[in-house]
Amino acid sequence: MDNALEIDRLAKSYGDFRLRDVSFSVPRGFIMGLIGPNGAGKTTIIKLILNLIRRDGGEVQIFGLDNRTREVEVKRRIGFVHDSPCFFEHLTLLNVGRTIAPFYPDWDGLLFERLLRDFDLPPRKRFAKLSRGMKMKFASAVAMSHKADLLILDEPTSGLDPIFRRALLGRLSAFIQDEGKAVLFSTHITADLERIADFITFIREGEVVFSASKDEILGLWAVVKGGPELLAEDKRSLFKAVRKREFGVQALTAKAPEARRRLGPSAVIEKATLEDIMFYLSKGNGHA
Amino acid sequence: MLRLCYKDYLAGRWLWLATSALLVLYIVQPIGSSVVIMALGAALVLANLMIPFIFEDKDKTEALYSSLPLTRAMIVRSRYLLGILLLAGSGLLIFGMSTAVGAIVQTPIYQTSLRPLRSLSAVAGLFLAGGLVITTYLPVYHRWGLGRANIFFAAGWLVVFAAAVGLERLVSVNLKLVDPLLTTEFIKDPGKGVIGWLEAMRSAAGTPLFMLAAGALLGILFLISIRLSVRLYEQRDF
Repeated sequence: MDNALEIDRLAKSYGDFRLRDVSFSVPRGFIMGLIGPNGAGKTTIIKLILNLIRRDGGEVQIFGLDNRTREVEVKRRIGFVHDSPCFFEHLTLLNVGRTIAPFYPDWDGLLFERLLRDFDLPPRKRFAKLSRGMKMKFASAVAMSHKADLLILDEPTSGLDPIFRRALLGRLSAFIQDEGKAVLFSTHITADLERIADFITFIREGEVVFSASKDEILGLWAVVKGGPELLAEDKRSLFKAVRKREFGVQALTAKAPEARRRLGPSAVIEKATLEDIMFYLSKGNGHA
Repeated sequence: MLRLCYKDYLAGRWLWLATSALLVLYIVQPIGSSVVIMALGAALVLANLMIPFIFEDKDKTEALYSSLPLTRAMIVRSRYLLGILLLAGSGLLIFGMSTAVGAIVQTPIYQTSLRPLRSLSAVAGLFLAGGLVITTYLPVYHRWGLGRANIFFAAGWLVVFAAAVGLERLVSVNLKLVDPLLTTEFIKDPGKGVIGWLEAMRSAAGTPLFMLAAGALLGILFLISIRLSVRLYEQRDF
């Protein structure tokens, strides 16, 4: 499979935080969701891809090009939305567009103006006067106005109303209909990823816990509910995380078919959502 | 690089207009001292250069522009280009206004302050002073960002001035190595003193050689400063 983004053993330390040997890839024509608790390293990975911070080790290749030695070429093909969009606050949206357009040879002014209209953004309004949701919409419009091949979005749906969230997700799905394009999408709103992502990478404490196709993850991971017998030594190996509750035990497994076979009717096995996986695997929630 | 300067122009144009109006206001005042206008010209180059940086710092746009298809070196070089453009703008304003006001108002107080500014040596003086300000400020800015850079830069120049005054007092008053009259006259209007000193050098070396030397000095200052700034800015994380 031809990859739009390839990350290989990426490492970065600052203060107490360490990103360790992060590797994953985003194939062309697909959407990769990046999930993990706060402080897991998602934004750090995105900043490393965009060269906003210096790496301690590893490599990042975008469409086969090194993101440091071919920085300008690579960045021309990337559309990005940062977790808190920062543009000149005192400028109107049209003027903010004018400060960015000259850097992209493929900037489409008509498309930019159409996106502003579609997203209900008044072009002559100052950026400072926008709500957080509108700022995210504007950042999305900028990211989509230069015919990027790879969209990198850091929490793009936070602060958005459900109607626009769905509209944005629809646009992302439409974006990858061109099979040469790809999306890397970091979010806490896992329901968004269940709706549109093809692959999921889960990051915890600076390490990749898993990176696989969504269908594979949702097929293999499950929440198991049962009595204290689930804590028996021979069954513990089935679970990634176990939580003792007042009325029994709940556990997360990445071996759903095997758990169904071995536990039989003694336990209730439900498909895990991405939120369940994130919840159980997060620190302090009883990961095994 | 001009594209980045255009971005700064869109961000800072109204404040640039306000500072230019301030400079014009000073030139049309009967100040009677060329140094005030010269110093204001050099200070305004720095102030105008800082205006887009203030917006960048307030709105945290450095991460945005570092995410665009640009290298850090391109961003750094554009800031030097902006400094040169602002310096040229200040120079044009000072010399244009002093020529115009000097031609219209013939009173001695205006002529005292404006006549020295209309010489080629004054042009060289302003460019050297402005160039020195730009080339010392930008590496500090690229290393520490706006807030700390301003403190370190101001503190650094205060130390230099204090040391210069102390040294002057030491050699002329305490050690009596130089006639105090020379330095006292210089202190009365350092602007004229500097211009006079440059004028003497121009007469001695001839105009072409003098301009070549001034240009070469500025070129070397800029080259060293740009290389240092690029190295420092590449170390910054956003």
